[in-house]
Amino acid sequence: MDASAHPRGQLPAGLMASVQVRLPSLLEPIAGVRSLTVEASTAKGAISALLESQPGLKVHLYDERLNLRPHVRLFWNDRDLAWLDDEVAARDGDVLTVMQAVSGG
Amino acid sequence: MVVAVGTEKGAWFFDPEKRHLDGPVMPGWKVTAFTETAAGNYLLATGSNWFGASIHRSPNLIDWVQADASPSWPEGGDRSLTQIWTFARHGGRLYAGVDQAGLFTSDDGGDSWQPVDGINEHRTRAAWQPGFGGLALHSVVIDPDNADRIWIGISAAGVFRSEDGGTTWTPANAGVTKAAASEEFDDIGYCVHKIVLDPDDSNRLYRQDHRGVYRSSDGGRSWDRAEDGLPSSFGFPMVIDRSAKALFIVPLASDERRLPVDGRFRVYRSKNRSDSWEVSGTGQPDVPTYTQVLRGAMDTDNNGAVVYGTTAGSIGLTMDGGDSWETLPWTLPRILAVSFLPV
Repeated sequence: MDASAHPRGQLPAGLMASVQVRLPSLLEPIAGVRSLTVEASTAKGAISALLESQPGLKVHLYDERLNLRPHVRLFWNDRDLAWLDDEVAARDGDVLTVMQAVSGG
Repeated sequence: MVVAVGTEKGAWFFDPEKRHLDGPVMPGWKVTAFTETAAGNYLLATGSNWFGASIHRSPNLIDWVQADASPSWPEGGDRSLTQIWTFARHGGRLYAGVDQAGLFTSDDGGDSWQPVDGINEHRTRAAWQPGFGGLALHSVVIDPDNADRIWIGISAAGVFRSEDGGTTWTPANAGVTKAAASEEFDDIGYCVHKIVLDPDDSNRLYRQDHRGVYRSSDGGRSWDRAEDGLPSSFGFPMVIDRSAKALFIVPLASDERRLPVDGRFRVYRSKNRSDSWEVSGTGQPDVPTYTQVLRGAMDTDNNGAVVYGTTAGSIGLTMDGGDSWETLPWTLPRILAVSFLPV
């Protein structure tokens, strides 16, 4: 795990934290909100909790092979989760951002 | 009736009499198809360059929520569902045609969708080639008097027909010029763009193909060219209006240029079951107009009203079966789909 992803360190394993999830505007009609809070002990757990509370988001974030769609990014605080261990521990106040990657010109 | 307009960046709605435009609904999303359900709800299909394709439901065309279920390919498989191209309905059964090519049905107003394996796993499937717009099942036509008789169009595999409610499917392209020949199967490789069924004769069908305009008088078993009077046989949309007893298409110069012939955007109409075609009525653009109409972007209310939306975002409308046309004052994003919906 990249420790810089979590400057406040880890909590004891299994302890649940409140993670804020931020969504792009296009997903607001799906979720009904732009942000919500989930309880999770890891980043991976936060994603699972997000999809459990908002199952309608799954088709928009993942393809049939359960790969993250090419132009969707998940940021854990200010780091792209693709470059982190998704078992990174969650702390109260962590932010999971679903980002609509703007590409092209 | 209300006209629903699906664009590259959302949906709009207008009453063709009052001419008041409402929207956008789902701003930023591609809106690719509309239908109403037997229970009186409305469905629209969305897609995106970023996110997945899904269906949204509304009781009133104002409040929309994503449906719990949409057509989907199995997780872990090698097929991806990139777009819901079309809806069709017969009684309480809904049909959805999708890319990658597949047909799905719903008997509960869209709460759940089931794959139609007879076509989705067809013996020729491995040889289906995508057209420029993808590998799309974009047309579904059902005999209004016999729900067992169904025709579907897949680009660029061709037309398939079923006489048993979708259990088995037979390619139905004899007489049509191929566009993407298969070495393995002789009965596919046809780039159909749109098919319509004559409301007064369920053995008579018409199709706008990549390689021409055709008609069939034997339920799709064989086809003959029906292009007399057309400046070009290439195009995408085709509709038939029951009241006007007229067919409508929008020819383009060629498959390479995909522009109106000489910049003269024209809807063509046939009032004699495609024996011949002529420019439809008056009021069409009288200035150079280099735009086109996609296959899902033309519809009729079967009572003389025909509407089309262009890739330039303009909307053309006739209320008298194509005798006179007007271009509506709004400019929307690239138009992908238009549908008359009952209200």
